[in-house]
Amino acid sequence: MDSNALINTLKGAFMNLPKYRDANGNMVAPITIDFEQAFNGIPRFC
Amino acid sequence: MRPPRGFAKTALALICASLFTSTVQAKMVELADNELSEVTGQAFINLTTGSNAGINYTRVNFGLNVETQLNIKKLQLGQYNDSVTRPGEALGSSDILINNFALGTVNADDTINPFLELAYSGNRVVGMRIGFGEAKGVLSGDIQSLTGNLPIKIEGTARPIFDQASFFDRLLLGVAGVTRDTRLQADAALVQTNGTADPTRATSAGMVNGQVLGCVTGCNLGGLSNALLSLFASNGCQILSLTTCFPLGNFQSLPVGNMAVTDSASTAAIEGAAKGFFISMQTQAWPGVTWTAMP
Repeated sequence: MDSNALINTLKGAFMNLPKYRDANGNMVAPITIDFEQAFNGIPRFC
Repeated sequence: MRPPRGFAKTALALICASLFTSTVQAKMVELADNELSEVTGQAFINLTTGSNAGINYTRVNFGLNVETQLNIKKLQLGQYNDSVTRPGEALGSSDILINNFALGTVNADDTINPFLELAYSGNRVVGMRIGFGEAKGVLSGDIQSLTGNLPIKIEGTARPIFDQASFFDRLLLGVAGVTRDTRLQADAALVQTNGTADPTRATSAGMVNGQVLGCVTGCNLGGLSNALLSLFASNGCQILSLTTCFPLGNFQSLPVGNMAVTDSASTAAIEGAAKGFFISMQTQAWPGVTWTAMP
């Protein structure tokens, strides 16, 4: 990853949804999907 | 005519009550300092402050676990239209543009713990964040462009991969000990359409160049399966014939946090909630601060 681009990114508007430590102490992604959802997308939940 | 006995009883009770209550009085008594110091409490809002890389922060924590369904017709942040100081940005483009943005869904247990944070350098405000100490639920919208940090874990059976793969790729997967019921995983992030990581105005998410599929369970060759899978890293949004990057617009709803964990009414925490989610607007880059060091 280009570190200059990274720093520039921090000027402006952005959404940060970082990895976090779960109850078991593991670093986990905030969003988990399966391969079906990855390939075919996820429709809007109502 | 004699008054009814019930009326007499009631009148007598009222007279007695008024006599007794006139002698009952409450008096305010001040607490001594040592008594007061033994009392702690937390009411609604609290303030926290911090400092990092020369930037000071004041955070207003609302101290609420809120079940919410928030809708915004158009969430558009960071539109500059300034070709002089920001060359290369398309006119009208934005750092974040999400149509029909929503946090939470109707009739769902979508919970957030909100805060508002101001960042200032000296006496000048240089940033504002709207964040959620904990967030669990569904983030929805038609994502046109997104700037930021959005790590995604893709995990599940390999069945959809077999459905997408060519005959030759299926053969290779078989050689690697992967069957349709094998559980595989991959890490994804915001990327350009060539697989380069792209945290700025991204329109796609997927596997960054060099990342590989990993075996979770059900690989017939054990550790050797992972070794064989690692020979085929994602490159240019492809692993062999498989597409590994996808338009953000395909994901109209994204589950935030571990939805499989049930909340417990006995704790204040939101079980399974993602932590550290915020939307930020900053007028300057903060020296030395990256996504991984984001306070």
